Amino acid sequence: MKSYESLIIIKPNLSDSEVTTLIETIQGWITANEGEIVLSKPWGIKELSYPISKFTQGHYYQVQFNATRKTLVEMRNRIRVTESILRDLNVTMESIQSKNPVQEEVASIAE
Amino acid sequence: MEKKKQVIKRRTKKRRVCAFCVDKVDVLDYKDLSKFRRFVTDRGKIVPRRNSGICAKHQRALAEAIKRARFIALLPFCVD
Repeated sequence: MKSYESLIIIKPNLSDSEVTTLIETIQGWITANEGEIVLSKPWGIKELSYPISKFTQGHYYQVQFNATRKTLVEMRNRIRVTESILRDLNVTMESIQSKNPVQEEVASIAE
Repeated sequence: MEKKKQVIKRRTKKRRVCAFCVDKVDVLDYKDLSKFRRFVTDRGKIVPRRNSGICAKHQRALAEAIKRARFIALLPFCVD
């Protein structure tokens, strides 16, 4: 088991309910394979720095979870075949989170 | 003669300290844009080490964080 973080960009033309359903589906992919969700945070619609597939905006969704390598691979395969997802970035928590407990909140861009 | 000597006199080197070493940063989060905004030029390029004054270790971490932020469209690859 390892801790991971995924940041997913969802197409902006989806309605709020569709986005919520998709987020639940994503959570389902993690929990189905003995994964455990630590943090789940939709950032809402945000302007992209450059267009991706001709979209200039996107719904950002941040999720942190504990899972095995296999679960992560499974999840990424499913993301790849989901058309509503524009892009995803998966990183290990150890590469972004300090081991020291003294760490400021990352709140600058989430708003 | 006195004057010429003064001109030749070498400029005293300014001691530069890595900004991240001062703050004792060990890992850089790609989401924390405010932390590395000033190490990206107006054109979206990563500022080289000779200009930023960052140590090698932190420059590597910085480059990784910026590249991640670019991939997920938080930062632009280039600004025209």
